[in-house]
Amino acid sequence: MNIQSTARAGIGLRQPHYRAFREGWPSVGFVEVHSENFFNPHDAAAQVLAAVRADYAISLHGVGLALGSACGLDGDHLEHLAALVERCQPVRVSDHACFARAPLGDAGIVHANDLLPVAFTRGALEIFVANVQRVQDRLQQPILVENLSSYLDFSERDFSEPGFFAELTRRSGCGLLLDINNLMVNALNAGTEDAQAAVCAWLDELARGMPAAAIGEIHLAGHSRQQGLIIDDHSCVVSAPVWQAYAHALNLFGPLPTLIEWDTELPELEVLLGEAAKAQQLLDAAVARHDVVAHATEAVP
Amino acid sequence: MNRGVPTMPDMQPGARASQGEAIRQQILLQALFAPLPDAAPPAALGVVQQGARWTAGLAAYRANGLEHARIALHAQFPTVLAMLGEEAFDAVAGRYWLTRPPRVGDLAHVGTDFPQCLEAQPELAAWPWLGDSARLDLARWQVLFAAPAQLAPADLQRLAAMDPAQLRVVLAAGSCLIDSRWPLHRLWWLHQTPQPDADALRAALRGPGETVWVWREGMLADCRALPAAEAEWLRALGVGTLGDALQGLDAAFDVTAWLQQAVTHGWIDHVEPLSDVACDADSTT
Repeated sequence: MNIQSTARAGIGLRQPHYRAFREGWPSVGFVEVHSENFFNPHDAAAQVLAAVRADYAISLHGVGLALGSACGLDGDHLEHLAALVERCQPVRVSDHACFARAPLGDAGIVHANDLLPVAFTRGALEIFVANVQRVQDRLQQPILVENLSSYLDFSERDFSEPGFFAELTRRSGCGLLLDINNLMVNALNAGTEDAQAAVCAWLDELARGMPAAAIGEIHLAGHSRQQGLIIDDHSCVVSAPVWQAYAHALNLFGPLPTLIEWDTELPELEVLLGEAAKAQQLLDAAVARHDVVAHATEAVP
Repeated sequence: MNRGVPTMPDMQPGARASQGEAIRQQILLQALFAPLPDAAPPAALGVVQQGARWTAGLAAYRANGLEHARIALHAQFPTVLAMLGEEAFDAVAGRYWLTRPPRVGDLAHVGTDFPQCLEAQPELAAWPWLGDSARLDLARWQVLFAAPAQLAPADLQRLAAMDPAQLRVVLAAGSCLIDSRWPLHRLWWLHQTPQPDADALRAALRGPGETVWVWREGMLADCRALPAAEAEWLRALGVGTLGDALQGLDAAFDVTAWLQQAVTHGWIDHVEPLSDVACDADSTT
């Protein structure tokens, strides 16, 4: 399966925009929704998704599988996801490189409902590979795993972060959902002097270790500063350094489906569409470059 | 809650590496759900960040969890939110999150024991109807996860043609009765406006308890207070045959009128002959 499939920009569809979206039926390459918000097949949201699905490609983006959890996956959660995939036949299914489930004393296994950071160790890799394979076996298709923004990280590591994802994709057959805003948030929180350069270096290392075909989607979003930390809250427009790092990624990996994420402080739908149009311009330029390179390559005897 | 230090048993190197991560994850989860945040990271966690940066990082995750709890519980318990006000509700929601951590990764299902949590709060003892009000909110929330009733013409034909002693009336999935010693439906109704009438609330609380029937009406939840005879009828339908329910019927209760309402509002999922039930039971043995 070609997990890239299109080179179009899409938007995340959130409940406050349902009406405006269905009135305007805007021209976007795909629509991303949070899987868990559509697990219920009997509610009004399910009807909205079915209507949108008739005209748009859907990218299902989960927040609850907790793929890095050492105690394993929640089988019921996976079954709900499988049923949703069956209903809406998405072009891509993704979740995060995080953990959330673990035993907590007398409470048993709890789910933190958050994207908690993992160490880039061999042990974590084994856990991810097993959990990702279980999901892919159940869904009968490869999934994408998104790199995290994290506010804590661990001194013990066997891999760099790009190296970790290169290994994960190679061993499990999953793809990478490359979130460039998350890279920027991490670089800024690490106190890196030139965060944009750090993000580009991260992308360069990824390009050396992983084929571009393993990247299935790119995420762009805004972030904010709160109490001394940069928070990945998807609350504003994409920052200029993230756009520049995105352009660098397109140079490295070629055109890829790109999502504008906006989850808090939601603006009018038009603002979101404007951001998607900006991404589409860069994608179109990347497509043109990609075609030139492809033709040049074909011309070589 | 007992949160002992996780330990690592003897095992192979690969499994040992994964077990090391399992322990790290348990330690981080303990820090997230601790009543008060740890001033310094536990050494076994092995985090890079120390001092103020550790505090800020941990606080970001703890705040995120509480915000998730707040948003999810606001959606699930609108009546309790109206009763308590946002500030008090959020305080209980935060306590709930930390003391009864969620088991599932779908925030739509995190509040299943919130009614019990409300009843366990000593400072809320003066509002003893909060627990039942939360049960009503929860039932209204959960009924929307149940499939709509599937009543078909064949079900109605069975009702008309077959011996009631040989029929079971299966009520719509998710519909339920809630018994309360408080005027539960009246309290719910009074809190559907942004500024509930205080005099009406005081008067309502002097009234008798109510049994509330919750059902799914299309894409919405609905509820109403039931007279004792109707509540008894629904209970009887839930446990026995139609014949049994008719036998114990209050003489003043109009079954025909109830059936018309039940069909209109989707209270009955289907009507099944006992022979089918027996066959189903046989096939599983």
